[in-house]
Amino acid sequence: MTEIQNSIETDALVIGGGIAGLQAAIDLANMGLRVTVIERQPSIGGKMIGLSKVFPTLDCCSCICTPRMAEAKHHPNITTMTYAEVQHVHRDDSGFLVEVLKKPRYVDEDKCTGCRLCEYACTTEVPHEFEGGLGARKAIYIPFANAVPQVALLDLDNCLLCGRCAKACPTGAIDFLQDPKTIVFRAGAIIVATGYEMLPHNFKENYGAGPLRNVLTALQVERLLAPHGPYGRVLRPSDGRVPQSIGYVQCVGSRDLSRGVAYCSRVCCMYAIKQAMLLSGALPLAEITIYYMDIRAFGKGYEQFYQNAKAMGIQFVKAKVAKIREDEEENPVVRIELLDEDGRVEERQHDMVVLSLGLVPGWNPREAGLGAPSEDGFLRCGHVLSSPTQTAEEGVFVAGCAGGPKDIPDSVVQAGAAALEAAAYLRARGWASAARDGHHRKAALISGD
Amino acid sequence: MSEVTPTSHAAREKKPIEILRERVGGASREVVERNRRQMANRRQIMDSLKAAPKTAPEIAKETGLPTHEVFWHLMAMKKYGKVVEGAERGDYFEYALVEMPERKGTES
Repeated sequence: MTEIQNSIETDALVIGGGIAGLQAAIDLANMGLRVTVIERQPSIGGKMIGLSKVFPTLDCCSCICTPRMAEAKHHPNITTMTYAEVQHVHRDDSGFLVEVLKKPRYVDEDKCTGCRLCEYACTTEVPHEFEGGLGARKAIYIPFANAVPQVALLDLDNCLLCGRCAKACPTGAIDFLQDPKTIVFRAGAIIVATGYEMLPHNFKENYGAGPLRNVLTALQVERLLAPHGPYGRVLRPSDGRVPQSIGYVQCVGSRDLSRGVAYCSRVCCMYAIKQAMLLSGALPLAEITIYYMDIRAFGKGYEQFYQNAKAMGIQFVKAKVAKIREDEEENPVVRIELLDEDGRVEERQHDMVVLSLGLVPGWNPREAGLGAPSEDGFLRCGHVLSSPTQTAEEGVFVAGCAGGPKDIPDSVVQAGAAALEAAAYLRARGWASAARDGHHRKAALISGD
Repeated sequence: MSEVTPTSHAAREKKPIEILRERVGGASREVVERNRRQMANRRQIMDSLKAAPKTAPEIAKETGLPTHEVFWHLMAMKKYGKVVEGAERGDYFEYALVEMPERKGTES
């Protein structure tokens, strides 16, 4: 049963609480505007909070992302609403009416202290989505170590309905009878920061199609390299062995017309180089080979980063990978065509292979009535040169990968620009910051975050 | 948040978990079965570790369970404080059971 709340006014609604959405929200809020951030996952932070370190500086991701998450959560002008999805956007004379579905966590967000006693009491373990399935979580769990908010959620699909969590909870926060809620926001402007998804593991059936246990996606390797990762160190999933030979396959899905993904995903060259460097640090004896078509190191400091990787002994082999199979010990074997050796074909065995999968849109704006996306599936933009964050829809702006693949520095720059354009738009339309204190506090109360 | 629906009103005496069980028709058979299997495998792994710390392939050989499954269990047990990582042997790490004095005799 869905309960419908009265509409709540906010100056700008940001769809997506990843690094781009949070940056846009913080910039708008610092201009004195009231912002609501809607995030479909149980924590804000997006993809970035799951990464290990960032290129080209090798800064720790958590060290950059966590303060942004905390700032958005505690900013007096920002309301964050997690585990919530935008259902529909209607336009009227004054702005937008946005219907948001708040999914039940079966945990009272005001009462939960994040102590995790429920998690320890629960006896059901399933692969953890946040760890790319490599680690385990319980049926009731805090999304991850530095999640914001630190509030548990119950995965009803995997729950034994034993009630142990409720007995263990010291604050009586478990609410088995929570229902989904629909909340309607009235907003003057919208910033879409819905990010990307990585192509699925089984995207290319001749690259192992998922069942090859030691063929991982680049995002899974981010988790292996992260300080709170699923294994606490780099091990391969089939048997827990320390891998001594790791191969990277570039352009899996990107620039592949046969798969309908014509564009370059822009980040794969650099994240592969970064991971290779981090792996050489974690596994000093390991041999790391990157099979590539061409290396696109276009950003500030990127070419130097690439040259440093070569100097560290990471092997770059210009080759096309036709096929990946595994031998009887589950070692992946890549069949490659060596482009610098007249197309000679050979097979090379590794302990682990990583697929640098391309990026696809995280959300289709048409689902919410926000117009059709462009041919590549990302948000359609209006004037790329004169108004780079304006979409084809008036009053709707774009930040980060929602408009196309981008690295983190570019996403943050675009988020700042989107915030400024949205603020200018609201001012030009004479939008009175209607979501004054009373309204805003009400929004905060209802979101419970 | 705790709005009273007609069904919950009629069943006022019931505990919330009981009402939820009725609403969703109990836990799915698949979840119950998977859980039972997992507990049985877990017990085998813990028994194998009682003798001495072992690597994932060693436990797999002893118990007959697939190595990747043993390793997944070990990582889950490590996360929730039931095993600790020990010495590195070859390219593998050993895992050892954590002593839990307050629950002596109740585990496994």
